[in-house]
Amino acid sequence: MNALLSIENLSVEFDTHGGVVHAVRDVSLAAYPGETVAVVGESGCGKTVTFQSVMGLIPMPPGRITAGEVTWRGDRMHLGRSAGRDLRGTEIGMIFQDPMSSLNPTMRIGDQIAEPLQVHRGKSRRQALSQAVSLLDQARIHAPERCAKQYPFELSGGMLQRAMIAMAIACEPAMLIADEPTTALDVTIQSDILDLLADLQQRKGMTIVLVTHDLGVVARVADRVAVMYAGQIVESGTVDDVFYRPAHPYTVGLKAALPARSIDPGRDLEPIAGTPPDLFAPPAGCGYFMRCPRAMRVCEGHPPDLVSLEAGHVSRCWLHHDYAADVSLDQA
Amino acid sequence: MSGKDHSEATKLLEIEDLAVEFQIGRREVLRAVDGVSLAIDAGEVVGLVGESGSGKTTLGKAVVGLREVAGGRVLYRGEALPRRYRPSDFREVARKIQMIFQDPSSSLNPRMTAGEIVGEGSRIQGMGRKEVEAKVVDWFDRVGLSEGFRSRYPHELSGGQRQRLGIARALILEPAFVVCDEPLSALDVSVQAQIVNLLRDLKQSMGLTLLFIAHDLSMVRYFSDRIAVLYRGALVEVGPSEDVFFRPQHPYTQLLIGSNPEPDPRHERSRKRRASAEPASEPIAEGGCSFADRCPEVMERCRSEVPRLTEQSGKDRHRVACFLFGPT
Repeated sequence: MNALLSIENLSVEFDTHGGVVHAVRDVSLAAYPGETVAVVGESGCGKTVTFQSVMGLIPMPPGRITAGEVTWRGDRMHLGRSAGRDLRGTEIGMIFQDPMSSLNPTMRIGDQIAEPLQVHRGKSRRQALSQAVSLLDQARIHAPERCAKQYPFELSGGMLQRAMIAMAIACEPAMLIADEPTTALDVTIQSDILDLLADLQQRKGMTIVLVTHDLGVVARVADRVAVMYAGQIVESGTVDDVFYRPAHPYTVGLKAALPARSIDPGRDLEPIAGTPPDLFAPPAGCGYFMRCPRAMRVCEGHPPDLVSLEAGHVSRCWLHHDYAADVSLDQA
Repeated sequence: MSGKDHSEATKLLEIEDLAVEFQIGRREVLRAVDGVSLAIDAGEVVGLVGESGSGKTTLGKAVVGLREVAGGRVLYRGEALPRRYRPSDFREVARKIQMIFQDPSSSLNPRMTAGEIVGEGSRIQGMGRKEVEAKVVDWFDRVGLSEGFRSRYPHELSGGQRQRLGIARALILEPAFVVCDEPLSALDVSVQAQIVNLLRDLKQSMGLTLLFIAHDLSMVRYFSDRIAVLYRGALVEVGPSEDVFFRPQHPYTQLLIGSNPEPDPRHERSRKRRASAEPASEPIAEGGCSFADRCPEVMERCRSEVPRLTEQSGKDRHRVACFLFGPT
């Protein structure tokens, strides 16, 4: 199957007062039709910047794409200040963590949802407004007519995220990029929103790219997952590969740091020591070297490549090298 | 972690029929906490969960005196704490009860150095400069901050370091009871585990009793001896962690636990979940169960009577406020 969106060797930098931040370093990732692919990592790992730069949402300057190629349905995308402009809203919908700051506070919800339909689909205001009401209904808002006439401040966080989803799917995009869509919401509301996304995906055959820090959310909705660390993808594969056969020490460490339901409450969690590296001066070798309990001499000076372990399961670690064959990963 | 024999355990903190109100507008009063009763044993960790707006933080703040008590009372070792604190009350209570806040960057004074922040409490208690400094040095070590950080300002520290600072600030007066208000929410997973282990070590070595307010149910289950579930200002279920997490009784607790996503794809795929978590728009009827409008098991009675928190027969200290259980 051909990828819908394919990112190859993308690198993104930012000029700041403190110097150049190498936020995304050589990231390759593909999203296939109808799947949900999650990109998971801690704050500052580059997961958000990766997709914002593809969609032309990072300010340039100070941002800069220094390398890489992105294709949409096989066609090479222009990557500049106006990257993704002709796909945004029509082919690719987007929702973000904080719907309140993504919506216009002075515009009624219905008008905001109607706007892309008027701009991209040439609908009249009346047609667009009535379609907005039906979209709010599809996003399972109880009284869609009333909601369409309300302003963002009148809605709860969960309702706002539903309104954002209604707006994102207005033009029936082939792909939805959801960046921490449920992070600001209560767990019960989060569950409803995730159900809604799964349902819309099934009915519309939409591809979903989910950017999140929450491994629970990944386990719940994703087919495939890419784990990012220090601007790089360190492991990717199906959710079962990555959760049950984690290959990269960082993934193993993340899992051991979580209070899983199987853990005995009397046992200590196993934190990952230290903090992520400074991306002003990324390490010469592996980005995880400083924190890795399995670090070897080679890891310090030589960056590991992504190694293919099983079909579709890759990991960026020297432990997979032939010379390290007798070293096995302790799985917590 | 807590004593096996509860009748033997000493109650450190008792919250009795506590109510906290907010004046909204000229006439209207919002009862953010409504009739909460909870006794916490010495050495126990009680996890307090509930959705945003349920009153978790307000309850915690009332316990430490940062919110005025509108009804009921809080007892510390059997003695009633003031309903409304005067400055001298804070000086007194600060040695017994402290709070660790969610967002260390907004609860630490940005114009004070890390060392000043940690030492301030002791200074206010009238301790001499030398003594304060020695304690500060000791506490930087105990929370795992290197001494060089003493002259840094909060904004120069990472989230995890700031939370360590918040912990040192709260614990330097060696309180017996600490309200931890979402101490992990602002932190990344790998750092969360560091802070949880630190809190556990300090709890053990100092014999602390904690009210652990959090929304991460897996973490609450892991860290707490008991879990208390708050819904719209009232407790709906209280019981031993493993019971509440693995065998939730109240329909709201079931919804909450059933919505908690866990890092286990097979478990997530097998999960059956009830939908419709958002409250219907009609306001709840006065005098009924506050969960009636969202409850899948709602009965006639739930709309006219308020269920009381009642002990479940045969279950040690597991109480539920629901007509589905308990006496009719």
